[in-house]
Amino acid sequence: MRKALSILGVIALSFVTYCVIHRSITVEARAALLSDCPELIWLKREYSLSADQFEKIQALHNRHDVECKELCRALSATQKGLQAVIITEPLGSASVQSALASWRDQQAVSQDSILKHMMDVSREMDPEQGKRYRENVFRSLILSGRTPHINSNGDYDSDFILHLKQ
Amino acid sequence: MNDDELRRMFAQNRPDLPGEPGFQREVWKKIERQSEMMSLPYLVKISGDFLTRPSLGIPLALAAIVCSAWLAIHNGMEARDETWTKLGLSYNEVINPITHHRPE
Repeated sequence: MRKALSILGVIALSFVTYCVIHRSITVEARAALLSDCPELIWLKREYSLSADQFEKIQALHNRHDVECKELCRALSATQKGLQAVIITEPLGSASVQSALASWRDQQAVSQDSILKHMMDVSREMDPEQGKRYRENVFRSLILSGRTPHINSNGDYDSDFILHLKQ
Repeated sequence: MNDDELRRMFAQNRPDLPGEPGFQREVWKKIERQSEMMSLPYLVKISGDFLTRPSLGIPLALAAIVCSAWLAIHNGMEARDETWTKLGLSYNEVINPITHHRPE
């Protein structure tokens, strides 16, 4: 009986050790996930924002979020318009050209909006962090489209060439 | 104990063995002990005896706790990093009207 209890005790102690350590390591991330705006908690942590900086950036973020939703609706509408004409009419037709132009304009407006937001947010950060933020946002948002034939050095991507040969 | 069966088996395989009841009892005891040793409760008992030997019990308990701690650090850090990475990607999506927008 005593032996069984000692084995159970060791198992229980190991389990408690696991739970306590795991919990202490993940406590911050779990709190972020449970917050109203987890992405902003990430931003605060990633760019070491002070309380004052965070407050200003949160206000900018909320303002941009409203604008972002409007742009999203407009983009969706222009895309639907383009989709309706591009499958029935030739590329050279006036309606397709007009829908394409609207769609491109809307994409450009959206990108301008991100760039403006990126600049506004980075201005509130410490200079080094701001620079890192701009680099991150630019890389992931503006350069997010695939350019498979050119690698980051501007050379032809051999993977793409191999892909073409297959 | 089925002595007739045992006697028949002895006669078949070892005709030179003595046939007294004392000898047969010893053989039965040995067979029973062998089958008892193969049972799960016996294996649990000897494992328990082995693991709770003072010279082995404390190092084993410490090893179990250290392993749990190591596993917790490893899994915890992995879960934490994964969460932050996901939130970073999520931030980039949230501020981008193009990724906000889901084509139908």
